[in-house]
Amino acid sequence: MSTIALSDRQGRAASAGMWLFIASIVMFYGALFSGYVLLRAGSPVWETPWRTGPAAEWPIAVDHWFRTMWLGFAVMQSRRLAGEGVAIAGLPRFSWLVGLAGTAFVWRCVYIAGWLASQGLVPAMSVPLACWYVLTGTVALLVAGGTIAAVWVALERVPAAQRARRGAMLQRYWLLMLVLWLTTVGGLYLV
Amino acid sequence: MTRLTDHKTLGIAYATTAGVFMVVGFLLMLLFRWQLAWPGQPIAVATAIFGETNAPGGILLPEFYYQLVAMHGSVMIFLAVVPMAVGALGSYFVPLQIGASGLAFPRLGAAGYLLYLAAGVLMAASFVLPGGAANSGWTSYPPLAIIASSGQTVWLVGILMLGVSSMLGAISVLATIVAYRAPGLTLMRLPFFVWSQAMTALLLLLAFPALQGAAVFQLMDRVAGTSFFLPSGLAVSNTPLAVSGGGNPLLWQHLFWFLAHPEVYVLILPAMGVVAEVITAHARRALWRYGLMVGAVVALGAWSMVVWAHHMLLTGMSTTLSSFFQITTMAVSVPSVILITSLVVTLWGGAIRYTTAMCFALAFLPMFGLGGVTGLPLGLGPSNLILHDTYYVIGHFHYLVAPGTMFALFAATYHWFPKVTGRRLDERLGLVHFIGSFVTMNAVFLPMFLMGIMGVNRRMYDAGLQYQLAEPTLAWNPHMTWNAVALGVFQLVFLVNIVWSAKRGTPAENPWQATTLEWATTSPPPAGNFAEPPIVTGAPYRYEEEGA
Ligand code: HEM
Ligand SMILES: [Cu+2]
Repeated sequence: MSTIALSDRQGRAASAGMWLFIASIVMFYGALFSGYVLLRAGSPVWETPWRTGPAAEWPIAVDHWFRTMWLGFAVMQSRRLAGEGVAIAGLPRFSWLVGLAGTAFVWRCVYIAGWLASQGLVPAMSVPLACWYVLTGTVALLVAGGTIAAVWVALERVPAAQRARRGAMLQRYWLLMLVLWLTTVGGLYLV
Repeated sequence: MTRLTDHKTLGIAYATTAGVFMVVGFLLMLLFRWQLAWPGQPIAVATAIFGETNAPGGILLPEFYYQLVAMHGSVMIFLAVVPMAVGALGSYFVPLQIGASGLAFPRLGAAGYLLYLAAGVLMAASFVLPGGAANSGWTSYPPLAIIASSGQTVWLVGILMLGVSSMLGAISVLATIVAYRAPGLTLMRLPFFVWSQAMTALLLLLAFPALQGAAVFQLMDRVAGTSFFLPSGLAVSNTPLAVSGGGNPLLWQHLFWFLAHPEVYVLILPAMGVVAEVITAHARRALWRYGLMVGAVVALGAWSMVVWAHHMLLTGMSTTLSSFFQITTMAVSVPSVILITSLVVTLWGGAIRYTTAMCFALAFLPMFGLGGVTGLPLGLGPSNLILHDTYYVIGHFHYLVAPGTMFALFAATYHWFPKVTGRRLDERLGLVHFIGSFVTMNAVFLPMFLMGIMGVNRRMYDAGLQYQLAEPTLAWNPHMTWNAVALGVFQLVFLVNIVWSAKRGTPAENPWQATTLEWATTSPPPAGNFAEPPIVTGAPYRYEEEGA
């Protein structure tokens, strides 16, 4: 009769916990997004003022490209932390770089929201705009949470094996962020 | 906080807090039941307690009545029954039943509890706001909920907090079951209660986020002036509302019921789990067709996520959609019937011991049956047309949650009290509690079916004084109210029993000679639960081999 080692169990619990957490975020975002789809499908007109006009000092597509890259970078870095990615240099880099990428992401979201608001395009103006703010804001909030977690994990003093496990969990989270972000961009800007 | 990381302390903290909210919910109910029995007649002390704004001259104002009703439902469901069935029973007994020393993420569990406590206090405190607490029903339908007073904002914030809380709790319980089962404890050897808790946690985890999403939308509508749920051209008291409009009130109903129907299974599945444990132990028989029951509880949980729009059959959805939801609703009764049947057949040939726990568990069966059967006419369009929004609906779901889930919670208390305290509850007081509760519960809720069939609407401040069809039922209301009061008195017997027995009750280790793992350690269990990690070699219920 073999008893499973305690650390093994902790790993299994953590992994299960992360999947469950991801599932519940998918449901949360899914509720918001299906609300968006239903509202849009039920509206005779659907104006998208955020798509046109100089939303910032450069085309919005550039902005999307950057934000997507930053999330991709976070995925890669956590992959490295998990010991799965390509080893480039020492780990400490991870902390401030992902912190920076995440912060930059949130900053762009807030910046564009501020710009829209300054043009009088506030959430109360129309249902489409309200959707823009809620969907973008939700992703920004979730990314902010991931950023804090990533920095925390990087600064934490734990054994290498444990750190690798956290990296694996972060990687899943950032992948989820990437998916949510692409869904949001697709829904708000492309379709 | 440190102590709350122990799953037993956590369970007791949940039980105590949920117990307090249960009393709060009950008192709210007594107040509005008084109004229903004697509409518009002053309550002597009401002004002194609730102030001139709520009860001038002792008469409950409609505005206050609706706060009472909305908060009764919200408190009972979100702050009392679910935390009791999931937070308390789940945290305390799941680790014990799987032979673990605690929960997988003790700090998450503790954080979940603290969030729940904060949300509960916040929501209860909203009564002191100008305009009082939330008053748009526990269902918070817009547009009403959006133009309601600020108590609704607090309600929404509370719901968001509760969502996070139940997510933390659910993750903690599920990960524990996944990773910390005793060696040899395969999935098909888990006690049925653990299965029911796992399914419940999964439902909370997957369904609650929909309500959180909806709460975000509604919060935006209330504080940021958006129109997610506000149609164009809405006027309140003939004044057009200064909003953009263009939203859809039915969207709320979809998102709300996508949570709230599974939520009713969150109320019933743990109850099923408890009743199964009690019946098998007190009838000295292994559960009949355990595997089938596990399949049924999984199916029930999964299926409960595709029936939600049976609450909206009259909202003008297409006939295709309506047929879909009528069919899924009829089908959901199949696994319920399987579960009930298995439990009844388990009794067959058993050596039944009529303990108080067993009496409550046995009473659960027909009460749940009545609640379930009365759901079927509600799930079919033509009969729903007549019954929707009447007292019949109130009767239907109260049979499931009041003599249903509540009886299961009572059974759990009598069954597991020795586990928690090392002492038994007094059986004579228990019998009084049981008989009293059984009689008064039915006296309160049975007439509601008839009232509903006669056409009396729910949520009427004056019990229907204005309607001729309600006339014959007006005289029933005082009887129902007195029975509700009596029900409360019998719960006092229960409380006395708990307090008295915790100190003076007969000491007992495993008074029911139960074979599940939680009884394989001392009562109460020591820190870390098991002196030696148990090793499991067989099925959870071994009453026949033992020859008890
Ligand atoms: C065979 C199983 C069931 C069926 C077919 C069924 C069907 C229904 C239907 C169609 C309604 C909507 C009535 C209306 O508003 O017109 C309803 C309401 C309700 N049911 Fe059930 N039900 C079942 C089981 C349950 C269970 C197990 C619970 C809880 C433990 C439950 C709790 C509720 C509640 C709380 C409501 C009322 C919600 C509200 O409007 O405030 N039901 N049921
Ligand atoms: Cu339902």
